[in-house]
Amino acid sequence: MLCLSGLGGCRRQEAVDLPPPPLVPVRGGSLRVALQAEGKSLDPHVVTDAASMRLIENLYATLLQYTSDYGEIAPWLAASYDRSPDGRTYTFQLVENAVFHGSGRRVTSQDVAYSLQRIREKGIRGDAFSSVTDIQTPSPHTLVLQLSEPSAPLLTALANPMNAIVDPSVVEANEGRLDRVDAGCGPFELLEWKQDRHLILKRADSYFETGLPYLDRIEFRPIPDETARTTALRNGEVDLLLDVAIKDVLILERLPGILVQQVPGTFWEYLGLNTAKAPLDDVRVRQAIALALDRPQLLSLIKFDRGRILPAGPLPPTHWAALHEPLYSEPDLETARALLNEAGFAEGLELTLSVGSAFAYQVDAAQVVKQQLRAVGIDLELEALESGIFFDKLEQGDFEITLVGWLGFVDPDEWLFNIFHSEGKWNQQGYTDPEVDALLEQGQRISDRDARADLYRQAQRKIAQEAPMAFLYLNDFISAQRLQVQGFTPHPTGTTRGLRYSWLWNGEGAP
Amino acid sequence: MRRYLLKRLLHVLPVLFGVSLLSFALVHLVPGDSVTTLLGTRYTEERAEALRSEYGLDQPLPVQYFRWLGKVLQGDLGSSITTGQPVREAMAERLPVTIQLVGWSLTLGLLIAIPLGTLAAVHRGKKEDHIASVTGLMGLSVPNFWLATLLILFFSLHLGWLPSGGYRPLKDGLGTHLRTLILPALALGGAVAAVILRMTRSAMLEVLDQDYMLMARAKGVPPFQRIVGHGLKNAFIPVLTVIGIQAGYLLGGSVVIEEVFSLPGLGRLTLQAIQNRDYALVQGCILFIATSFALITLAVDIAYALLNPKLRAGGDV
Repeated sequence: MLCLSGLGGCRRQEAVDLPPPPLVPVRGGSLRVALQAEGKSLDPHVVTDAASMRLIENLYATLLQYTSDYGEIAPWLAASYDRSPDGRTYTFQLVENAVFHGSGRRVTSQDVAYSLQRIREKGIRGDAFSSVTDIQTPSPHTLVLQLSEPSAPLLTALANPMNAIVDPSVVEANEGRLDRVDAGCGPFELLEWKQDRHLILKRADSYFETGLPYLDRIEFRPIPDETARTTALRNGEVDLLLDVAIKDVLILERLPGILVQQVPGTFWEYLGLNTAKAPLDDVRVRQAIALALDRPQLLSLIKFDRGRILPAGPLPPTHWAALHEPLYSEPDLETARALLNEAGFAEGLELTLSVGSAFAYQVDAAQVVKQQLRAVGIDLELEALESGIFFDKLEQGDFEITLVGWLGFVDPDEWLFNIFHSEGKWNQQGYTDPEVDALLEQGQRISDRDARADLYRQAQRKIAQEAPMAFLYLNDFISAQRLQVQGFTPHPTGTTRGLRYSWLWNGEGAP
Repeated sequence: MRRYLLKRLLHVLPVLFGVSLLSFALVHLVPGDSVTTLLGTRYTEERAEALRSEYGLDQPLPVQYFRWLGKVLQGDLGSSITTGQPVREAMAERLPVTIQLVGWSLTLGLLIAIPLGTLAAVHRGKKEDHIASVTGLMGLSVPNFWLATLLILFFSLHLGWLPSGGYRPLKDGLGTHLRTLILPALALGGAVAAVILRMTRSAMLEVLDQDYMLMARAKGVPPFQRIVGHGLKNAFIPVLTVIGIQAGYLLGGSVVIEEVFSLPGLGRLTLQAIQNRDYALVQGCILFIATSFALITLAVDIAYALLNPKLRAGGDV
């Protein structure tokens, strides 16, 4: 079995005694992938939901790409790139043989410029390019970005699968909307999308990486029901499940003929403490909550120990900027009680914990948190809200405590800036701290990796101490596949771009 | 008869108007709005304003309603705010699946309920009756989503006879089509069968006690003809009402069942539209489902008249 770890744990079926698969990938075949939800749109510059991203990302290419080494990036549509010493000019050399699916036209720097402009106009992921003052196209395959100030997260943003290069002629032909069409130059092209039934991709013969992809087709099927999804894999109705629910992992792992792979993911969950509302505006109350939580117990009860607790900052332990300090690895009830006493809550206090009712595992976690905090005299009232209302309330800061999560980040700037900077777009906790602000701003500007890591560790330490959030755990990203599927490794962000290296082992000796 | 029909049709009009008003109002009364949901974490005041004016959501509600109604009357249900697809097109894609699901559920329900209900009434207090009442009670008490999961585990996982979900259209062949719909139809039709079964039984019991049944027996009409031709035909009027109402419930129940069996039907579309606060789409779906309900009721009323001459003749029904 191909089992690229390096990212951590990786389980395989020892029970099955199979000859090793051929070393040379075989071309052909159709891979069926089950998704938890149906995508909403195929427009990479607009979507925000994970399901849509899974459908889109194999249609398109980006200048750079994530590697299997989490946090690192590599060239892709840009064969090489160069940064000026002052960090204000980036020059990209594009591959010369990339071709758009629809028009069959070669991809030029003009198209890249058009796409970056469109990303900025759409606004969804435009902020990453706010420092870009000028986009120049000196030759059909050379692109120059001029920045007002150095921007360290820029390259990671260019590798985000949704910051895709689109075909301007397709955009124009569809009145600016790419919701249901393919404007890409990626490894696969769109064959058919019947919503709630399937989305079928076929190999793009014009794809610019010679010999890739191996698969003739990929069929994505949305199967919202957990039992139906697992059954589909067990029955051979699908070949690959992404983002497997924990309870199903335990079943699937025991089955012969199925390989479960697990990497530390990017989906992290936390208790958000609204620092703008009394009594949570008192740092001692927040610290008491962070200290009173028994994270190992939560992880074990809610996640069956799949995943890892976040004892300090939110960044995954595999990330180069992770903070490895066991600030909250064990509950400290005594200190928590003392802090509450000091803050004037010796008699205890009542707070409301809001969760999204659609996220059953978060509702469950909230119940456990309620029990745990009772030990220090904090009485939580649980409020399970319909998703639409729940997220509205978060946006408006209309909550006391919330239990929710984020996912998909790569650069530490993505992990921290928008959530903890006082001007951050998603700073739902209303957290402000000049020192953290300064650290996060600095982190955007310098490019030296070690220096950045140091800044982000300092910021995480400060954030953990001031506790605008009590970090809970980081989920593993788990996939399950039939043994015929070769060359697939789950990525922490959940991206399926690696599918262009996947192939089906159907010949001699195959399972 | 014509007068009766005309009167029934006229009754439907205010109902439909009410339906349109309600489906519009309900969507707008639900907290949260499509713009915030659409923008999600990328929400800013300016972006929200721009989107609101683009979709006319900044207008007063009555203005929005009459604009929408005017368009609906011309057959234009608007476009989905999330995908830009015309609502009519999105619904037309899903409708066949739901109609087939409801159709097969009802067929399956009737195939189980009518014979079993009749049998139970004829053999009142005997083994057949007990079997029927236990079946009926189970059908009523088991929630359909749970039954659905059990059916998947048993027929799909354990026996491996049927797929766990997905949909194949009729044009792929009746067998292939039915293979994907039989479990959902069973899960959805179970409760309906139970209700119809109980109704058939009690209606039949009443009819069996009637003098004309005794008369038929005395005249030597063979049992099958007597029970089906004389008994069932007369017992069918109350049963028909129940079938009509159940058909409406099937439309609602399809939301859950389509989700469990990943069927691309109208129910799932409605559910997603609600989650996305996709106003135009929700309104379109609710309007359609409610209108269907009203029209099914109308059809039942008409069927009454066909079954019962008394209703045809009398003007004051």
